[in-house]
Amino acid sequence: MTNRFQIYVLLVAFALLLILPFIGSRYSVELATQILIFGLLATSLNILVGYLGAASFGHAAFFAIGGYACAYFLTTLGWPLVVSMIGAVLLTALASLVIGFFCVRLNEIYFSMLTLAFSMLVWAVALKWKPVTGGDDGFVGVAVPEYLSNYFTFFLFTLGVVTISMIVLMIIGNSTMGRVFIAIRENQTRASFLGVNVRRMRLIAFVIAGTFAGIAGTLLALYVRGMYPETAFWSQSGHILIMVLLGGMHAFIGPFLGASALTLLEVTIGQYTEYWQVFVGVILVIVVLAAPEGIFGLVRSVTKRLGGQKDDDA
Amino acid sequence: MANSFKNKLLATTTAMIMTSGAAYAEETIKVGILMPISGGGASYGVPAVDGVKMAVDEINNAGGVDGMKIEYFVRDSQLKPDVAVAAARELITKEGVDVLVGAVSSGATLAISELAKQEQIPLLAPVAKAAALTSTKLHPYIFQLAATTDSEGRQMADVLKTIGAEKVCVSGFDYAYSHDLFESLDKNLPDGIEIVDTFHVKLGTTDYSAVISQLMGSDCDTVAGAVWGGGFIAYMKQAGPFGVFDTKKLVWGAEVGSSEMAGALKGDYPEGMYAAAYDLWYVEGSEAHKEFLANLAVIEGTNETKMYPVTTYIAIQFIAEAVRKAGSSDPKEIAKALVGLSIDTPLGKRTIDPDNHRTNTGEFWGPMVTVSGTEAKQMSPAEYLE
Repeated sequence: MTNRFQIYVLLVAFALLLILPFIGSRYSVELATQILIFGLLATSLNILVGYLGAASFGHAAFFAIGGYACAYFLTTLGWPLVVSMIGAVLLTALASLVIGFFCVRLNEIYFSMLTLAFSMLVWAVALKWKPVTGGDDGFVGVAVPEYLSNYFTFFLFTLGVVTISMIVLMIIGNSTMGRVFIAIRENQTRASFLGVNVRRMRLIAFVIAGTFAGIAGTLLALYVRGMYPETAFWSQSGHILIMVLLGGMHAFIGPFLGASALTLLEVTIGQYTEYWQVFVGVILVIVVLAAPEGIFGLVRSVTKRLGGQKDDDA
Repeated sequence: MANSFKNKLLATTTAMIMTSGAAYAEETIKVGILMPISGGGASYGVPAVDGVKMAVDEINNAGGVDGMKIEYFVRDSQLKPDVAVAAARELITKEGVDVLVGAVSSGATLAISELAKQEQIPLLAPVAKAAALTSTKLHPYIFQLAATTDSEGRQMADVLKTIGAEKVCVSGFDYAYSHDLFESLDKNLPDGIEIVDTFHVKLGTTDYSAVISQLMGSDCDTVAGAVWGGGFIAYMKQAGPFGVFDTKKLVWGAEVGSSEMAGALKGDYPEGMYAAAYDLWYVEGSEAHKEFLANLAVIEGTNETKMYPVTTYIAIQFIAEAVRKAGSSDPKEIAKALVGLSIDTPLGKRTIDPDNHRTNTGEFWGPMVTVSGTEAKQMSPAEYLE
């Protein structure tokens, strides 16, 4: 799912993002920070949706667990940033393992429904466990270290974390493990006859996806300086799924493109009209109808048509 | 040579003074409005934006604030804290707003308040009631113009005393607002009145059958409620046929005494229920209030105007007066000027308490009764409680 073209796109995007805080306005840097966080979140979900072929409707749960845990460790317990982030990511990985243990036993719609149910359970905990999460008022006032309180340094920090995470995800996607995920997606029965322990591989994919969603959650908690129960709500999971579908789930960079497009659409149209949801809805319908493989699929077919480029996708 | 230099210096200085004067005259006060203008919160957010528009037009048409015009930017906060924060960041970093006004839900307002503190931009909260905003989370840049759960609980206790309640059941959505309100109510109840049962429902639920059965089985003589919005409408429509209102007195917070609620429920609105509202189009108020309602009627296209415009109208009044007092639209100076500031509003004098940044915002309280000539019940007599 990753080809040379996608790597070039990622390298160009990284170079542009690296110089952005030096030449761009504060607003553009803030917007890029949001895109990076949601881009990582969408890419993490694509391990399940694109690689494994399992649509999770509860991915927001891990996003929220990572964020709340980081906020709690950093603010309530007063742990250092690095320890808080690592602790939060480990906790999210553990939560993914426990939740995944039950979810991967099911397939298709049953899998989706169970992930949704667990997500709502996490939402209910966030809502009710007021001493830890702040309840429906949210966890307000995350103690962000002074060196990250500036938008400039926070952007570079986010860029660093997201870049490393994307590289790891790409390596996983291109590894034998990634190929096994795709094999399971294509034909679960055939994969198991080839000796693949399907349930275990599904669980591994689930934990990887949840862990990286947790990393995105820690960044969100630091960026927003708070965490709120809405982050775990099912509509948030739907939002991430839309990003994946919009960008294209059969390409590594597709979800990142989808996250960028959806964030930019929501933000820019919202500045001009109170009916922004109608416009975003219409644009999404057009994109889905005109490009069922998402934005990346559209770009790929256009470039192929123009240049006769050979498709070397897996 | 020396004269030439002096002349140049004089000319340059004069030009600089003139330029800065022109810049001052053209300077605008930029206000960012964060309200839910789509989805479930739109019934609060859209009228609130009407109040902003009205106040800004009035001030700008009268020449602005010391020559400075007010410019406002509306963003949809969607009742979601993270969306509200993202929108607030955009307003600060892209539009360069000097002041923020918003939001509706406590969660979203607390989230923006944190950003306001970080960015040192004043935030005026005209609707959110969470006491935490100006108690545990108080900072120099947050100003709570709405009634708080502390004041609402106190007012509710006064009403319960007036109607002679003894045993009270409380019923609200199971979340912070209801919990804080009934905690305040409990604290303010005089001897002889006690809360005997609590019947909360899930936030946003539409099925009240279970809680209605529980209410009917309770020996309380009065129900104190805090379910709001569409939930209140469903609650009343479902409870009516069971005759709950025939056996128990009703006292309801959450501004369900508004003409919007009365208009939506019409004949299903319980006769004699004591309810609260920020503003009522039919009350006999001051000349300023009459003028406010007349102007609002033009914007809304009806004399039966909504309740929330007055909240944001007052917020803009506060901003204008703070800029006037500070002589600048600098956010830090506006925040300093807001502390202890008093203004005349359509609903009387309002002052921001220098200690906790809350205003003396009251609400109309009274029984909702049938009035000839209209299907919607009206509050009569309506008493303004602080």
